[in-house]
Amino acid sequence: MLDAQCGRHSPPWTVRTVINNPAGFQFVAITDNYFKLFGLATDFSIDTDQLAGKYRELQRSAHPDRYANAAERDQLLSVQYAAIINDAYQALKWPLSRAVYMLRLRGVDVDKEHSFDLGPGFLMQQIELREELESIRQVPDAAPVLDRMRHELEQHQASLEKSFARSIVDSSAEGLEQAGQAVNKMQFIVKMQQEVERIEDELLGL
Amino acid sequence: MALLQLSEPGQASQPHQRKLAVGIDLGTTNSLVATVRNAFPEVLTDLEGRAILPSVVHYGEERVTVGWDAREWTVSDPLNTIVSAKRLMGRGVNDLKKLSQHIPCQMRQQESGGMPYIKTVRGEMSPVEVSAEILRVLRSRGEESLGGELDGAVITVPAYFDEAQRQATKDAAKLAGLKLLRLLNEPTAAAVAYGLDKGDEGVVAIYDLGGGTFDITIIRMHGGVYEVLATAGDTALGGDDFDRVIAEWILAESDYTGNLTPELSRDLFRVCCAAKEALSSDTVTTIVINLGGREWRAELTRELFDQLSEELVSQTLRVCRRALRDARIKAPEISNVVMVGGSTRIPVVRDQVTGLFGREPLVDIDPDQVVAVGAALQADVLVGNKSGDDMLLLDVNPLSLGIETMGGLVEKIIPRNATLPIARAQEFTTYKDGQTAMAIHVLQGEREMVADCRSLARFELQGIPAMVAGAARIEVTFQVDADGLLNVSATELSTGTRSSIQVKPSYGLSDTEISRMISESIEHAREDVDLRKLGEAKVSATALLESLEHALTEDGEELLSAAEREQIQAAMTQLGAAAAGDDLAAILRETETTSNASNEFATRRMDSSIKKALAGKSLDEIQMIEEN
Repeated sequence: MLDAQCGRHSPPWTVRTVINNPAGFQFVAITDNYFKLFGLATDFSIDTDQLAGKYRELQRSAHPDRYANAAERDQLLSVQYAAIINDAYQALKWPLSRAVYMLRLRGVDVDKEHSFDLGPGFLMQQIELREELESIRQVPDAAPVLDRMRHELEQHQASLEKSFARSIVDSSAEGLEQAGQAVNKMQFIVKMQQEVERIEDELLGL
Repeated sequence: MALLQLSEPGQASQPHQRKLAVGIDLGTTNSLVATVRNAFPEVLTDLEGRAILPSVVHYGEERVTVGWDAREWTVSDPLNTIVSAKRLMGRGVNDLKKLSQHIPCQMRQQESGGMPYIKTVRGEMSPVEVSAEILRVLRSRGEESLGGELDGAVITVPAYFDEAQRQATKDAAKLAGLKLLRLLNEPTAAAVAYGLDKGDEGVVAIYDLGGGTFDITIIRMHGGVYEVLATAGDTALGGDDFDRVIAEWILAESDYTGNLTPELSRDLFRVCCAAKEALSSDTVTTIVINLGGREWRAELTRELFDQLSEELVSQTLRVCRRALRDARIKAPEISNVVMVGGSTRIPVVRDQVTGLFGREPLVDIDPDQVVAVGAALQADVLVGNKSGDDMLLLDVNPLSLGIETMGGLVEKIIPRNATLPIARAQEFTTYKDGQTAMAIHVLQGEREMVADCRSLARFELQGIPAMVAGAARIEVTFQVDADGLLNVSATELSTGTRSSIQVKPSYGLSDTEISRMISESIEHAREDVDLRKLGEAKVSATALLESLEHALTEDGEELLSAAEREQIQAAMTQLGAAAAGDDLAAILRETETTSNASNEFATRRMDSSIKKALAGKSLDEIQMIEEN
């Protein structure tokens, strides 16, 4: 789930589906924009309930369960479509993956080639947080500390989302740079949140 | 006055004829089969009115027996009486060392690795063959009860079954001659059984403690769509473990130092199981057992049993918390808790689950039958008896799938709890000049090291065009379908060459083994293998023709030009002619031609159905898309 949020392995933004037939492969494009797939405007601030509703409608028509009795080729096709719809939904469902996807629509793949200058202040702050986390196992009652850290990370995340939403609509190179920085920072925050969860799991004996 | 409808001689069967479909709960301890009749689910019984079929197979000198009759042999002929075969499905010999105390039988590990075989007087049997025996009995129960050959079956598996275990179950269905419509997760089946009954909305937790496995599944129900948010479990924790803690207590209390023979082991577990069941209603029970000729007798109170099982129950609660975390749901947001599996009758289990979720769990439907009922409801939809509009199940991948990378590490490709179906592409390159083959090791599990994950399969990509090191770009697509089964395909991107893939499953049966088993099974003993292939080819040709005819009637005008329509119809005519004959090669060739000729049409139909699904809502939204 967390991996899906980061969208690490999401396919390139021109989605294609593959029909696996004995003659070889055939590539088909179903959409060049996930937002359009769900009938939504390409906008960072989406109504996630509406997205979920559209997602269910699409799966009702494309899911392999609707093709359980169909010819094998149609079943395979349905698997491809349903997989793309799932991918698209995961990409848009979470703020970070949505932001990563929107950058990709602008031709920037943050996972691969791009990293942005985040400034020494942000990195220092991250290092301090990480050190605090490392030492938390020695703290007798870690739960309130973890709660506080989680709360701070959430607030930080929310302000980064706002900053991204502002920058991504700015079509200048500077706007793109700021949007990229916000996404890079969000990735740090999400990693930190995962770390907090991992330590909580450890303390709960999970 | 009612008019009689007379069908003309030779007229094809009515298009709206109900198809015969069943749901099968293939359990560790017990199995059941259910169907939907007159809009109501119904568990099918044997001639003596018993719904449950014990998942026991006895291989005798004379014949193979399954169920109650086979169970009679568990103590007197333990090595030829296979119980809990489900625990062996998709497992390797190392997994089985842990289980061998529960399952006294003799195993032979294949030299090549793969699935262990069980030695019986009738020869060596794979767990898949044992399960197929059980499925055959359920299949004939379904056919006798419904009065005809089955058009399809849904078989349930624990949500936490890994890919190898699912594949083994699918192989067993194939061996038993069942047309498998879907492998359905048991907890999802339980939710369906409850959901359709009550029209519930909200987030539901399904706590499933069966004979040999535990899983917890968190499902959001919304307008007939069941969206699984997370699932977690332990495939080596179940009701049998509660028997085991009693057995350990007996052995400790009685100071028994003699041999634990297979016979004694079976007897011990029988006594413990009875004691456990008694303590579901009574607060104390008397245990009497013959220990190496000495009768030993003791009282076991529910209080002590609760203590003995405390660690087991705590383990299930830990798994529940992890599922809640993965689902991003807090315990109070759960609107209902559904109990599945006979072991949820244990009072301490119910108490603890009530404590965790802060509400009384639902137990209205017999926990032994709820899974089969849900499977039957799903089978009815999938086989086409019911419009799918009112129900859709969106299930998840229970365990992360990854590949081995440098240094024995696992790189995750498909995360756990990702909604199925899912596809992920990964690019690889060659590290030597002129390299034409590449090995990929696929693993399943959450840990970082290869050694801590389950090996699923090794793939060898061959036919990579020879290039300098690092120049080839091989895209490997991993796809997990709605049954939770993995498919892999690979293409070299710079030349478009498709690599061939050889799969060596780590625990499953190879295709050759399955073919051999099918040809060896009693049912197919006299059947010609070629004849079967011809039959299968005809069935799939007919299915393609039927679905194309339907598609052309529905969308042919709208989506195809006259020339395109003609081309498809010409291919169909050829296929029809081939399918009427007995030339296998011709049928396969024409099926492929027709399939290729209609690929574009199938894709257009899919696109159009998606557009319609989207447009179904409101005009404003469509306008918005156009402006986009």
